[in-house]
Amino acid sequence: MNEKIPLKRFAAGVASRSGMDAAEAEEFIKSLFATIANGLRTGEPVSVPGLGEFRLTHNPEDPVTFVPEAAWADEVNAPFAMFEPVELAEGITDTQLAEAEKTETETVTAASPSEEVPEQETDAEPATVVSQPLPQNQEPAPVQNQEPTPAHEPVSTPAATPYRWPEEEEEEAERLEAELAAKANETSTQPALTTTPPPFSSQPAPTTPTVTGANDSTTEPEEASSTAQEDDYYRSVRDSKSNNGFTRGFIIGLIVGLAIGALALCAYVLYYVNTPAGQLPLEVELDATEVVPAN
Amino acid sequence: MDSKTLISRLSMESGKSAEEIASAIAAVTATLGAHGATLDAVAIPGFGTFTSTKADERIITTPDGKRTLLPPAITVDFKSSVLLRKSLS
Repeated sequence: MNEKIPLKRFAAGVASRSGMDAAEAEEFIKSLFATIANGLRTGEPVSVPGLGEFRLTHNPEDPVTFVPEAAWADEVNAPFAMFEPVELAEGITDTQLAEAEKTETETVTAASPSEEVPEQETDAEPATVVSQPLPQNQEPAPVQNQEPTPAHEPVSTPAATPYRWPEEEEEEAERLEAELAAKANETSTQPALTTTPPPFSSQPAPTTPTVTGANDSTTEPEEASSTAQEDDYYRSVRDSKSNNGFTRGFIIGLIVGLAIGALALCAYVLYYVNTPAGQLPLEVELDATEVVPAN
Repeated sequence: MDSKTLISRLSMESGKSAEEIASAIAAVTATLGAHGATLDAVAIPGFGTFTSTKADERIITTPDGKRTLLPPAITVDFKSSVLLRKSLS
């Protein structure tokens, strides 16, 4: 699209359609247009069957004009051949047309990449919209019908779970742990995971009441399944956190122990193994002077 | 020069039959139309360039005051080359 086709490429297309060689097609194209030019030089218009007519003009800047045949022009206009002129209603104003065009461009950009086929479809819209008087209710209808609903949007409930940052999710996990621990202490003999039960005042999500089990009368099966999934996720987060803490502590303790042992070994080597050279003889001389009498 | 004269001259120059020349011209016409429909420009050395342009939809007002929405359309224009212009001048 929007390319400049050189002679060789054009000849290759002609060869594929006619069964000739590319070189033969190229020679034929050259002879065809040379013959046309020779006919124009005689001052006469030249008619090419199936294509159109080349005529001379008195304009020195553009001495040749080309008038295509109707059938060939329709073939070129094939992408837009299905459209017909539409008479606008009398009540349609320019502002209404501009608004319709604006909504049309929004739907085109939201729907698909730019090609001629979707362009045709979108071009058909103003014809159907404009041919009828535009009541105000119809204007937002194409936008509502054609805008795709993204899959990642949350469930459409008034108190739907908003997007949570990772820190919020961690806090939520800890709070749920405490709630589960409190519940376990009340119902069974399982050991408590946390010591302080959390307050139930701040509960932004509607799913948390289903997790605690306090308000089960109005929970729907979808919310129960989602809360179960959330429980599993929080448990996995908690387990991974505890495992990481134990490993970290073990490694730190190992390093500290090794350091203390190394220090003790060094002290032993310095003070008990490497004794100075004159320390022992000095002790013997002192003993000799004391024992030997002067007589 | 009409179509028959053109075909006869080409037949004499190339030595091919009129039917072969007519089918070859049809292939040239079809290829040119296909490139025009995709808004491609075809350049014929020494003759000129066939350029396609797309006209957007527009509203025209008749003298009666009625407004009509015209659909978009693709048209092919021809621009003669410098050599052809010089030879015709």
